[in-house]
Amino acid sequence: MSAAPVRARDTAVARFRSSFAAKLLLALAGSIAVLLLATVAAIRVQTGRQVAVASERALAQSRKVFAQQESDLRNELQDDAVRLAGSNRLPAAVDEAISSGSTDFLVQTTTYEMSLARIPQALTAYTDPDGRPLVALDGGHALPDPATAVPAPLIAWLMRNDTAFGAFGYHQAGARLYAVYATRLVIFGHAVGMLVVGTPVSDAIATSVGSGVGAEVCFVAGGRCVARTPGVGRGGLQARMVAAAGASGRGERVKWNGHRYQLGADRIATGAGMRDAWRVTAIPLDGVVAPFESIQRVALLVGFGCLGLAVLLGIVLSRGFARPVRALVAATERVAEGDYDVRVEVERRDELGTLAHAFNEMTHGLMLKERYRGVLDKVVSREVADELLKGEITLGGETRRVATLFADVRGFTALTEGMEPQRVIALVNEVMERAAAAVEGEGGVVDKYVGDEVMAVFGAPASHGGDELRAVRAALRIRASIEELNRERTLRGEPVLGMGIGINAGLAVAGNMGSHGRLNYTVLGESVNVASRLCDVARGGEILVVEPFLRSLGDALDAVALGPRIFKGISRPLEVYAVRGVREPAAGAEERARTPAAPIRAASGAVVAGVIAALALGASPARAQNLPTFKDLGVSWTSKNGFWQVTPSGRIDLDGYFPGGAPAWLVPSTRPFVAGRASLFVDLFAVNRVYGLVEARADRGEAPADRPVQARIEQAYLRLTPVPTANFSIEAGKFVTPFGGWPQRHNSVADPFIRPPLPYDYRTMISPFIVPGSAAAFASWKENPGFWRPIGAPIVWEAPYQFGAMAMGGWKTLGFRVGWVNSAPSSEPSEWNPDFNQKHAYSFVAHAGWQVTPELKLGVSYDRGPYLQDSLKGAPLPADENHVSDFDQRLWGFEASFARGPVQARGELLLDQWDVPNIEDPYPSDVSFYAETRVKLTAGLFAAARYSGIRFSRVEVAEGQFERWDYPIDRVQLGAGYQLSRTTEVRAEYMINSTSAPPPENDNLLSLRWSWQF
Amino acid sequence: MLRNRAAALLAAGLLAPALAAARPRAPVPAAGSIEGHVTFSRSNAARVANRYPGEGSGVSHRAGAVPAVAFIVGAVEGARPERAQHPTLVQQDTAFHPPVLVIPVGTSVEFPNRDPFFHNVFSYSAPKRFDLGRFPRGESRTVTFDKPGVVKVYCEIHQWMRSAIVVVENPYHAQIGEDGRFTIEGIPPGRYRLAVWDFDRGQKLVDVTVPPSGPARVDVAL
Repeated sequence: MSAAPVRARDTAVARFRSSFAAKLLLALAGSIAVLLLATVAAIRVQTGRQVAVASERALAQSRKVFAQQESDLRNELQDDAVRLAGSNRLPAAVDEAISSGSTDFLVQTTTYEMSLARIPQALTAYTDPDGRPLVALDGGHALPDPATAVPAPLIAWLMRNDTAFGAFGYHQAGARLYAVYATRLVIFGHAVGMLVVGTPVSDAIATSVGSGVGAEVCFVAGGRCVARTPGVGRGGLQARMVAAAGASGRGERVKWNGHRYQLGADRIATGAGMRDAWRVTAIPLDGVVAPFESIQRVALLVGFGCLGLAVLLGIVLSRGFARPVRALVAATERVAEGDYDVRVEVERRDELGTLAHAFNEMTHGLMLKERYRGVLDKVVSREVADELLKGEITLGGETRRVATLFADVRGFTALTEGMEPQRVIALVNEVMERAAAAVEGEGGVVDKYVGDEVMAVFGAPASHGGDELRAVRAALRIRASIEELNRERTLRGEPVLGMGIGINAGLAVAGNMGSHGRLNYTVLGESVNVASRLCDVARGGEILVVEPFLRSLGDALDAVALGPRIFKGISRPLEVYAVRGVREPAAGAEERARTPAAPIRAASGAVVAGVIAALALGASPARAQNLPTFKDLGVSWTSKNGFWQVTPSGRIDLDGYFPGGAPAWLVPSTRPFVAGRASLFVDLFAVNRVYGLVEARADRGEAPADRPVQARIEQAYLRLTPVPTANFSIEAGKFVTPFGGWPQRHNSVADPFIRPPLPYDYRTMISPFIVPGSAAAFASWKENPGFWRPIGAPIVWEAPYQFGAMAMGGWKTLGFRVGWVNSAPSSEPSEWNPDFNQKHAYSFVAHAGWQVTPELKLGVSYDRGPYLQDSLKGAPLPADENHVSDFDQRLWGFEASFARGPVQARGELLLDQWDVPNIEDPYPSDVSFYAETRVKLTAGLFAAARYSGIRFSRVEVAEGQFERWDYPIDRVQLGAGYQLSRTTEVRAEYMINSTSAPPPENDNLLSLRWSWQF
Repeated sequence: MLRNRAAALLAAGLLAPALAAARPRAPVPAAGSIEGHVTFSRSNAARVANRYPGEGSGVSHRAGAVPAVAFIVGAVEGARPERAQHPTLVQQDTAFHPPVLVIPVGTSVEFPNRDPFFHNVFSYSAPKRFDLGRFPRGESRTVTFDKPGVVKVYCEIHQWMRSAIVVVENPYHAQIGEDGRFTIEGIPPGRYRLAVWDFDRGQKLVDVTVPPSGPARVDVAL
């Protein structure tokens, strides 16, 4: 809630980081991880190498196959060229075409000649002797632009090289790549033109190249794939292969269709000035890579297995190491706190076992020493014991200036007369405890107890300086402490104690006196005797000093002169003063510094508010808040014959409470805290005769508080309806009281608030444990400041879930419930459970309701039962009524509710009367009430306001004198809620309490709630 | 052979009265001549040695030399009519004889094979495209040339065989000697277009004005 847990988590993280466990884990996991990485890296490198070797081999092979293919192609084309150019006909036709300027006849002749030569699908082209394109045919059809079909670089090369018969190369025309052969056409030694024959580089060529090495082949020219093996397809691989053209040699590795390939490119176009054409080969790598991958998979699997094992091993080892270390640390802390009776159980033979054994021996030694020391402390004062333990035990002593204080209880003998011995001892011990605490608090030493008297020394065996003033302060503290004790005793109806105190200072002999077998450190001297005498004469509550002592402190003491006195054994009379107080400057500054740390409270409040606001707003889109219910999930059970049906449901509330600084009645905390409850309801139906309900609840107390979560069965009852058609049932078990108009609505959507109205929340001063001695004493309790006010019973407990039986029924618009339950409506949750030894406590409760109109409903309730508990304290019960069961609480309730449209209004009036021991008629009674309204503003949003109050009656404090037994108190609650979804809701409430009773503390309360019903 | 001679005799008999009839109108009022000189460029001549390996005979064949020809293009008014005797282009010793043949339009030429093996005479030239197919020794084919122009004649089987038939519309033509000189006489005065043609270098046209008497001199670079 506050910043502290966050810091705690941070330090926990930091502690883990620096812990042995973390280092061990890091070392084990780290080395395995490095090994794993190295293995994977090695496999990868080896894979890469193998891929390189295999792909180079396949590329070389494909080059060889292609070279053969290319050579065949070249020979074929050359044969065709020789055949065509070898006859006079084509040269004659070209000659004629050039001289006549018309190519028609050439085309005709060519077609004829080609068909004769059986070269049907070839590319044919002619140029004149200077290389200018004449005509081109593809598959027997003239191309519109012969220039595109003429491989200009080949022609140029041929024109430069007179003696060459022809030239082979590649030429791209349109979407096709041709292998072409150019040759000269000659008649009578005279070149009449050039002939080009070509055949397309077809898919068949790619396939025959690829099949030799099992690779995919793609011929790329002009940035497009012009021929390919069927496996290349039109998708990704083709694009990657086209992209690979442009750089000779091994290219990238690609993945396509689940297969891996190594790409390689070779430039096939030869001859200067030729456009680039490439043969791209994709060598399948699956067969090469697969074995390595399976090795890598196994390595990874084994590696991660080892990693997990290492982490596990690290945890086990470090646990085995950390547990004894933690045990040793815990034991050391206990030793540091002073508990030497601690042993470390480490059943080990290793170094830790040795350490634990040594530790145990050490604590055993310490324990023995401390035990001796403890005995010594009880016999002599701690400081004397220190001196003794230092070994400076000397008989005789030294003369020191000391202040001595004597205090004893006035009239102790009379007080304890007729008292049981145990109670006497208890009383003496309580007084001595308080006196000793005061003395030690001021640095003094309790020298000895003599009966009801305490002797204390300041300045011996060691002086803390200002011993006189310390003695006076100790006396004042004793007096204050006894006054405090007296207040408690008054409440309990016991007589008050008076303590007389005498203080003096002067030279005294201090030392160990007695025999060697039994020494007693003490001080002796006249000044000591004077202090003792002063104590003897001091009245209850008086602190007496003599004039020299007073003077020795200057004007530090506020004292009243009582006149001279003669003391036994003292020669001269001494002026005696009664000390009223110490004049100390600048008192109270310290007090202010101790006020609660308001900023911390504000900060923690803000955190809780943030959490609830986040739940309310952060997660809303409404759908996110639309958490499912058991019904949505279909969780329910029906017996086979349909006789029984069991249906679960639940509700979770998450509350944040922000007290204004003082407890707001049933909320005891003064700091913000988170509470709430989780309830699981199980409904049981048997035909229509039996109904049962069990509610299991976990919360931080019936009334929310900053304490551990507890779980219990809140309700468990069975209801039997003997005649299903008649409106009558009987019910038994633990159920919420039928009394009043609020408990049944408690923790349900019908209640628009988080906290109850005052009558169900305010703790009256009528206590089930403390009995007042008289009406006057009772009436005076209300004046006690906050802390001293008895925390009594509420008028009705927030929502009593009592144990009992009830009958209920109805007729037309009337309904009733009548029952007996095991405790009064005001009784605490501890009284609700069945306790069959508690015979007295049965309480009668009844409720009647009338539905006047569909909108208006009226009800009246009555409850009567004993509220006192057996473990009473304080004044005794009157002799004639000596059973706690004779004292009843009587309670009437009148309620009305009204609903029309978006407005709902409710009101309730409670008349309450108590039988209180030692108080005669008129008995203490009170009137309490509340009125509330709730308005639905929009779908899901409502606002509500409630006013509640209590007025207390007068009791007779003296003959004819009446006084109210408590101040009136009022409460205003303002609330709002929002239905986030079908099942979740948030609401907020601010409560203002107002009373004229003495504690002017701020007991207002801000409450926030998120709830989910499922 | 006998039939050929008979045909030749028949043709001579038919033509004789025509020639006799033409002679009385022979006196021509005036006649000029053209004296020309052709300069042959080297560059357009065959660049490769014009020898072709014989088919299995081991004999090298020289490509047939075809003389250049000069002739006047178009019909000439008042020109004496030319009646050539029945012309033949003989294939003998894997060569055409004569190497060039000038004939008037409408003349039929016989292509007898006097070699002991097949020839296949053809021409792809525009004025007359023909392909006589393969025919053996002793057989002959006849082709009638009905358009003026130069027709290059080849044998498909023997690449070194070539000849040309120049189909003219007037009698004014001459073979150009090896020294490039030629003379055409008896031309009526007037303006003419003169074609100078060589098998390898092609044809060139020049305009010539022939005076009433005396030669017109022409220099042509081919």
